[in-house]
Amino acid sequence: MPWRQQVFLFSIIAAFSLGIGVGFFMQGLTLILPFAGFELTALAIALYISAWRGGRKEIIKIARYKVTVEVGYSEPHTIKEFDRAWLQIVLIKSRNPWYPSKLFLRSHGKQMEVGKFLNEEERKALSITLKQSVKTVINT
Amino acid sequence: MSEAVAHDDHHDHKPTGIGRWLFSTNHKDIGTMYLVFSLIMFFVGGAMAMVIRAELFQPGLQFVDPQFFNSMTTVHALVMIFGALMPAGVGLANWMIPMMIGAPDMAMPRMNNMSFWILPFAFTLLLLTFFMPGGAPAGGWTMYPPLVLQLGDGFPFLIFAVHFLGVSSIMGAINIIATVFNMRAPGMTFMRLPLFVWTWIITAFLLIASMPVLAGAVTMLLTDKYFGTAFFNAAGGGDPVLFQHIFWFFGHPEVYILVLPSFGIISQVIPTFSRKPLFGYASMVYATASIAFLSFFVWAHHMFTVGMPLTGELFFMYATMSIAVPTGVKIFNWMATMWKGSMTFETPMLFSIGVLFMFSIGGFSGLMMGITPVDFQYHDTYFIVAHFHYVIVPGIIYGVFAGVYYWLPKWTGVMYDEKLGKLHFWLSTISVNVLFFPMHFIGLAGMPRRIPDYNTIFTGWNQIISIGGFAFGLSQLILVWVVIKCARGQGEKATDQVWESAHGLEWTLSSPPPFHSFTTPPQVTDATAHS
Repeated sequence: MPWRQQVFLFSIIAAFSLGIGVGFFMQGLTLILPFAGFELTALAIALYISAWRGGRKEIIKIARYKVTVEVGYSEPHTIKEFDRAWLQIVLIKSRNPWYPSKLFLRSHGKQMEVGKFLNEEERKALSITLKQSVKTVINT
Repeated sequence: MSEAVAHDDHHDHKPTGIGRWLFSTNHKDIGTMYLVFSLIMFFVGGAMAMVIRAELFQPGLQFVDPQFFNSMTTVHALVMIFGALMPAGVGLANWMIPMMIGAPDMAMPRMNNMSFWILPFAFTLLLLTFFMPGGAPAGGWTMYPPLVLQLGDGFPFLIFAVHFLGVSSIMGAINIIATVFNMRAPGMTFMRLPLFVWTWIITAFLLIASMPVLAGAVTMLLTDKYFGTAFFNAAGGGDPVLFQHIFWFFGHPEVYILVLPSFGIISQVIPTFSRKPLFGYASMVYATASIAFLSFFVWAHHMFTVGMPLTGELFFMYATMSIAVPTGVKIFNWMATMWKGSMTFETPMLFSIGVLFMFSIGGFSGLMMGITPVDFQYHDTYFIVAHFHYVIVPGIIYGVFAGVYYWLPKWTGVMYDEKLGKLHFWLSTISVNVLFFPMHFIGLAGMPRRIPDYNTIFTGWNQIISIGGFAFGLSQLILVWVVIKCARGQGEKATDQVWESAHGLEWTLSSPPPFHSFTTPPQVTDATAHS
């Protein structure tokens, strides 16, 4: 959902909930309003985080000699280039199986994590796809 | 040189052992935990109901003392409402909402885990009060002061248990709102959402608006008892009746928090087994929203007898009546969906029709109580007990049963035993009516609620009611057996669609669904959407 619509819907919820809290506050029941405030803050944070995460993009471009990773939201804020010929694609399983694996691109002493927001299957599929794509470029 | 170094080669990353459940962030696992917890609490609360019915089998005091009897009625309600019904709804939401909207999981998986694990902790606090000086809460689940303030050492445990339960509910509601707002598949517009999802969004809004009122109310009880405030103490300038107003300001929306998901479930089930699309989808959405909105303006019908201005009584009477209009729209639409449909009567459909008939009985007795002058006769009698149990048991619990039977083949990959399912339905339906219908008669004849002893003229009906209660309790063991069989994989293999006329994204997944639901978002069109 677009951010503006979310803000609009949140405002309606907040107005209703705070209205109740203020109404009771004016009746002398002062402790309802702080709870309404806490709860709306939590809702606002949850909406913001989920919208923010939903907008995150990683673009991996594979050119003849370079592999470029662009990370950002509406536009890239981090761009990293790797030498394609020396590129390692490393999928590291976490020591504890309850935590997710990590997928790194590495070359010449620098590395970058990609696919943080994917689930395990998707991250594994991405590592295979990247491996195949990089090899295909080399062979051609 | 380029290389891929795959250190992780296990296929579905499904953690094993106790850690899978303790630290799970998977919506299906958390949904399963909610449902299992709810079933356990259903039997804990049910056992308390059995104590109540055993005591009331005869007049006089047989098995328990009056204080313990009152603890049973109080904790039975708290356990059933906050431990069985709400977690059942949240469990179904956890399982189904991501699959219905085409999302891989809930928006806040870690918060989802926390919101579940708060529940056992909160109920441990609540149930520990039985072993404390002063015993368990015995002043009714409504916690009215000054009675509740007489509770012994268990009082702060009660208050913090309620707080934790509220926090859990709020976290669940926030998660559902964030999930539906931000994680719908492309093409899944709001007016294409399955009705179950719609009822849950509206329920989540109700939770957001009403829970701070409960939290504030119980905190003020706590400060009145321990910190010298006088919010509800008349001697200090406070007003005990004000607590009743704020409790029911939360309490009445709470009824709809419980019942709306049940309405959502039967809105999924009835079209499937009628082999017709849901009649009046848009009107169902608007009716649900109207019910939720109106639920904030009717609270004082729970307290007509405390003394209110005539204008107030009239307002709350008419406001209460007005809720019958959107509820009637829903009942009409369900019936119109069935009208001239190619109906079959599998267990989920039987339970849904049970909701339709018996929730209506509870609804009509609710209308009777909404009429202010006659409510003075019904107030605090078994007529009220009959009313709200008709709403809760065949209205809400039957809806949950319908959902469990409807989605169990999808969850487990095997069909449940249809014969056992039907046996569960018929035994439950006969016994639930033997249990609750005669309560109307003894209530109208004047038997008060929340007493361990009664006038001997009520003996006959009370014995029939108790027999119905024991039969209903035993009937629920069939459900446990059905679920265990499916969980063990005993039964015919279920197809992906399970039911021939089932529509929606959840039926496009395998049975059982993969650990992660949709790895690529599905494209939703009118043809694949419920509406």
